[in-house]
Order: sequence, then C-alpha cells, then structure tokens
Amino acid sequence: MRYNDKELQALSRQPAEMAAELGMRGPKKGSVVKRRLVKLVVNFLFYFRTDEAEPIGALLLEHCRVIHEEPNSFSISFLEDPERKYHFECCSEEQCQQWMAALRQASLLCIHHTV
Amino acid sequence: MRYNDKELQALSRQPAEMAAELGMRGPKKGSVVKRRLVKLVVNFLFYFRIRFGPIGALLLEHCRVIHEEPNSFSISFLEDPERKYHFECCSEEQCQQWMAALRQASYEFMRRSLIFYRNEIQKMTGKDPLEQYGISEEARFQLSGLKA
Repeated sequence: MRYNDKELQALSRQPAEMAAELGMRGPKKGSVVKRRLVKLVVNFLFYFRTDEAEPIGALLLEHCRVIHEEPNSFSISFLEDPERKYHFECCSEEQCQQWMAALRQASLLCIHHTV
Repeated sequence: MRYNDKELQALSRQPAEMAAELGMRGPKKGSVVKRRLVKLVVNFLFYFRIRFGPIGALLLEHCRVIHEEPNSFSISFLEDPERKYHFECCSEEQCQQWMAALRQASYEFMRRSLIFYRNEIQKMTGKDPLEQYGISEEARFQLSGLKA
C-alpha cells in the first residue's frame, strides 16, 4: 500500500513519548540482537541505527500484543501475524515494565474509545 | 522506511469514523479526478478503488485541510505544502463534515482535547476523569504538556 512516507519520516523526528537505546532482534529466524535507538511517537514505534538520523523502520501499534519475555525483555507481535515477534532487551526490569505499559497504551483506536 | 504493512492493511478494515465515495485527484501535475472510497480510521485516511482493496494511506499528523471551490477540499502536509490531495464531495455539507473530521483526526488534536476536557471536568466536579483508567500521571496527559 502506498503511504505518505515523508510524513512518517517527519513523525519520527517529533518529540517522543519514550526513547531509549535497547537491544532489538527482528522476527526472522536466526536474527541477532542489535543495539537500536527505539522511539515511541503517537501510535508508531520507530527504530534507528544508533548513529543515524533516519529510522530503519516503523511499527504501527494499533493491534499489537506486548509480552514479557524472561527478565528485562519484552516482545511485540501483531494480530495479523502472531508468530512473528520483535524482541527488545532492556537494561532493567523497571525499564522493561515502563516500555510495556507505554506500548500497550499507544493504540489510538483504544484512546478514542476512552475520550 | 520499512513498516508493518499487514497492520496498516488491517487498520484499513477497521470501522471508520467516516467513509464515503468522493472524487479524488492526486498531487502530481496532470492528475485526473477518480472516484474513490475514502475512509478515515484514527489518524489515517485510506483510499480504495471502489471494488478492490486499499490503494493507499495518508498519515494525518500535521496535515493542512483547505476548502477549495464549492464542495471540495484539499489535504497537504507540512513537509510538502505544494503537493495537494484533492477531494470532491457531493455537497457543501458533506465537504464541511469531512474537513472537520480530518482536522480532528490527528493524535495531537486528540491529546489537546483530552487535556482540555479533563481540566474542565476537574473544575466542575473536583474529580479527575482519567483516574479510573489509571493514566492520570502520564506525561502526555498533563496540562503543562500543552504547547501554545
């Protein structure tokens, strides 16, 4: 599907609800953990190489499932593809809990109902 | 930029705030008007060929909605104000409804509204309406979070 890429890029530069360097592992088998700057803006999770200004990718968070994985880690998967998990390693359990809470509340579909 | 396309597709199938068949003209020079099914879901405007799946999605954060001649409006974006997506409605009333909805579709608008109403309710009742949701302390919902 086409989309207005420049606006998504611009959004990735907005002030973030949360931003931190985390260990990230992609959903493909055999993926290794890489350090990424991870940034939550509105209902998107952007991830950057730590020394680059443009994000590598964006995850739309409307129907995501956030699961606690072993100590200090969590994974995000999506309704459309529950087996593909994006895995994130935090530096502490506290940081892990903060991210999980923020990501679970990022959905605009849910917020609209609240408002 | 990579993104999780399947989720965007899934979002396009969610119940819409507003959906209608409108005449749409893209931003490229020489574009012609085509009938599209246009659907507003949270902060996205999706547009479909009348009988098939979505062609595209417009993320609506920082969009500018302008009234164009009778019954029409255009959407442009902060990053590229000259590129306009043009929409023709069947009446001025429909046009006004869409413009109002699109201007309110952004997360930023929602956040400011929530803070405004929270403050008003608190003044009137002495109670914080967000308390029952456990989100009263979040930075994004604080009054000080409103920028002029």
